[in-house]
Amino acid sequence: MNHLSNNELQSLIDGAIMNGERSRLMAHLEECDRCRREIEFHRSVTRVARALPSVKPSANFTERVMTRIAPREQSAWLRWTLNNLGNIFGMIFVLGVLGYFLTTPKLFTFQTSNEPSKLTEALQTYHGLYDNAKTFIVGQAEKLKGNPPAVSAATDETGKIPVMVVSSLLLLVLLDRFVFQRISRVRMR
Amino acid sequence: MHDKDQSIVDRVLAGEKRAYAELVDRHKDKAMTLAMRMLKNREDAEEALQDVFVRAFHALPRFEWKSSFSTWLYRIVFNVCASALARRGEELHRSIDEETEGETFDPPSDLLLPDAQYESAEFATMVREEVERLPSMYGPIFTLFVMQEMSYEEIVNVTGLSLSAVKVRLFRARALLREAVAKRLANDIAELPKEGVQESL
Repeated sequence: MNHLSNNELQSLIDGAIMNGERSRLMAHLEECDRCRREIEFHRSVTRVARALPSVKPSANFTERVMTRIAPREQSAWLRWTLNNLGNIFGMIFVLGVLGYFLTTPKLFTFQTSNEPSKLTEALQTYHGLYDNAKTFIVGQAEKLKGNPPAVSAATDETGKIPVMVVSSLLLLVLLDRFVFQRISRVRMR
Repeated sequence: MHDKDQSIVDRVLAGEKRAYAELVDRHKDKAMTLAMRMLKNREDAEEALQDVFVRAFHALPRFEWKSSFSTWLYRIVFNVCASALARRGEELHRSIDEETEGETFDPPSDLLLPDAQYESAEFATMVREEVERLPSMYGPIFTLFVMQEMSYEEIVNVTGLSLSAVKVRLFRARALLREAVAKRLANDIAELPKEGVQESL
C-alpha cells in the first residue's frame, strides 16, 4: 500500500488540506492504520509543544537592554560631582585643615626656647593682621545691623569650621571652573 | 497585538526612549525561545538577544510595517543567531537537497508507533526534551511554526529560506521528534511487563 507523502501528511496534521483532496485522504486513513497513527501522534506532539512554556531570559534582561540603548541622563553637576568625588573630599580636607590652623593663633604659641623663632614671629604677625581684619569686618557688620560690637570667643571658634569648609568648596569650584577645565581643554587639543 | 506594538513604536520614535522597555517585555520570552532553539546555550542566547533588541531599536526608524513587529524582530533574532552559529563553525544554511517535497513517509518498521497515551505527563516531558534536542537547522522552524503559530509565508520572511525548504525542514523536525519519542515510548512499554512481574513476585 502506498502511504501518504510528506506534504499530505503535514497538511493533515496542520488541518490545511484542500476540500477536493480531503475525501481521498480520509478514505486512505480509514484503510491505513499506520498513517492514521502517524497523524494522531503528530497532532498530539503539536498540541503538547504548543502548550510548552517559553524560555525566559534573566530577570534584569530588559534593564540591561535599556542601559545599552537609553542610559538614564544625569545632570551635568551630578555627573561632575560623581566623577570628582575623591578630589572634592581631598581638597576640602586639605583646605579645611590649612584654614583652621592659619586662623587659630593658640596652636602656634609653642616654642622650645625663650627666644621666639622667626616662624612664630611671622605667624603672630599674620594672626594679628587676621584678628584686626576680623574685628573690623565684624564691627562694620554689627554697625550696619545697629548692634554694639561684641564677638563671642566660643561662637568665633565653633563657627570657623563651617566657614572654612564652605569657602574651601567655593574655592574648589572657582579653581575647577577657571583653571582646571581650561588646562584640560588645552591638554585635549 | 499589532496595534499595541505600533503605538509603543510610535512613542519610541517620538522620543520616549524608555517606552522601548515595554516592547522588550512583550517579545523577550518568545524571542528567547527561538534563540535557545538555535544556539542551545542560555548564556549565548541571552547575549545574542541583547544584541537583537539593541539592533532593532536602532533600526526602528526604518521599519515600514510590511510585516508584524514580531515577524520583523524574529528575522533579526534568526540572523544574529545564524551569525553566532557561523562564528562557532556551525552552518545553518546547509545546501542539502531540500527540494524533496514529494517523498513518501516511510518509517523504519521497528519504530512503528505504539498505542500510547498521548495525554500523559511523561509524554509531555518527552516532547519537551526532544524539542530542545532538535538540531539548529530544524528546531527554529518547528518553534516558529508550532510554538509561535506562524504561517509558512511568515517563516519564509523570517528565515529567508524558500517555501519548499521550510516545509521540508519542518517535516524533518517532525520526523526526528517522531523517531526519538517513538524509541522512548517503545522502551517504556518494553519495561512495563518486567515491572509487573517484579511487583507480582
